[in-house]
Amino acid sequence: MCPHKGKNHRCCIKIRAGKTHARRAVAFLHNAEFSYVNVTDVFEGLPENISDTFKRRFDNWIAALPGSPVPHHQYHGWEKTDYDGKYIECFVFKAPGHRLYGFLCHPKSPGDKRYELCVLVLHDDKYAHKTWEPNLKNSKKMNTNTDVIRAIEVEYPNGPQDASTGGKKDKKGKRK
Amino acid sequence: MTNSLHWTEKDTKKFQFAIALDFIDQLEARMAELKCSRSKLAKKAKVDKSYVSQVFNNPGNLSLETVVKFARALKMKVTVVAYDDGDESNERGPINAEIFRLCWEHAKKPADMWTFKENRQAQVATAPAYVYHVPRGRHEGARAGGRTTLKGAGNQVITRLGYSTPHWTNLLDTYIEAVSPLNQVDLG
Repeated sequence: MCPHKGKNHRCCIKIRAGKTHARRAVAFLHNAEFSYVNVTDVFEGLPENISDTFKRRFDNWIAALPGSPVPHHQYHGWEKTDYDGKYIECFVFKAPGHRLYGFLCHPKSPGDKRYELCVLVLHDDKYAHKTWEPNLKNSKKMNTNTDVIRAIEVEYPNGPQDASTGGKKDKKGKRK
Repeated sequence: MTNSLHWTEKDTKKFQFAIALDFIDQLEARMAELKCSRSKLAKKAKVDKSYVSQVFNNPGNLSLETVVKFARALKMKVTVVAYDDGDESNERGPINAEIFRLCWEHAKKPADMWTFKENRQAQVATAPAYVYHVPRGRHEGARAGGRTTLKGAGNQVITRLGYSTPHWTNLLDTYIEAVSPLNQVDLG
């Protein structure tokens, strides 16, 4: 059962920060089909100082201008030069010893291409410097998952998001 | 409490945590700049190293005394700023301290109201003037802070950017995003 909707949804997202913000928002993903999609369950069990640190990181990311210097100790994405550019859509929020991984998308595209949504997928403990690549792989996988795309469309009904087409539709309203 | 309220509205401690964390973030940025480790900070602030770690990981109980100690240890000063952002019910949460710091630095770090006024006048006088070509069909008849009136689409907008026209610069952002390709001419 989906913890966000309280119904028998297998997959859904819930906006956790920036619900009324014009440019950015952060959402948690629930997808019962994949055990590694644990962000919703784990977040509620985190120590209060850690979950509050994450919440402030979400605020700060939402308030920041795209292209401005990124405070790497708070959050960051991956560049084209990292991992041969395989994870440019992936994103991480950081708190001491904890990481939340996810992906960025443009759920209001093509109407509002600038609007960014960070869909957080999984939590992991983090003490080593280097990122554990499977976390990025799993986050990336969710970006193209049909159920996830549909879940985002439910939350953003006026702006379909499609990883493969950038949300473009043909004249009949079907996705290209 | 409705869902639209910010998480820091839940209780005062949450609000306190958020602003304390912003302060710690500022300290960490400064420490990186000065290449100062937590041990060095502890030594300079004359506190135990474990206390620094404890505060950095969970800054919710920061006292003003500790705030001042850490700031001074990193050759900085600190000010508590109260403000009214029109968000009475707290739907947006506290504004990040970095915004205030950046605005102060952008105003050339005035130490008092005299310097603030002088800096502001100097900035307005020396700000570059730009011409923006407004595309047809956009912003007809818009009014720009009482300084420039757009008589119709296809006109040129000439402005001198300065602090005295904050709402004009906001409007300008709209143009910057609307005009493509942006045709800017520096008029000196």
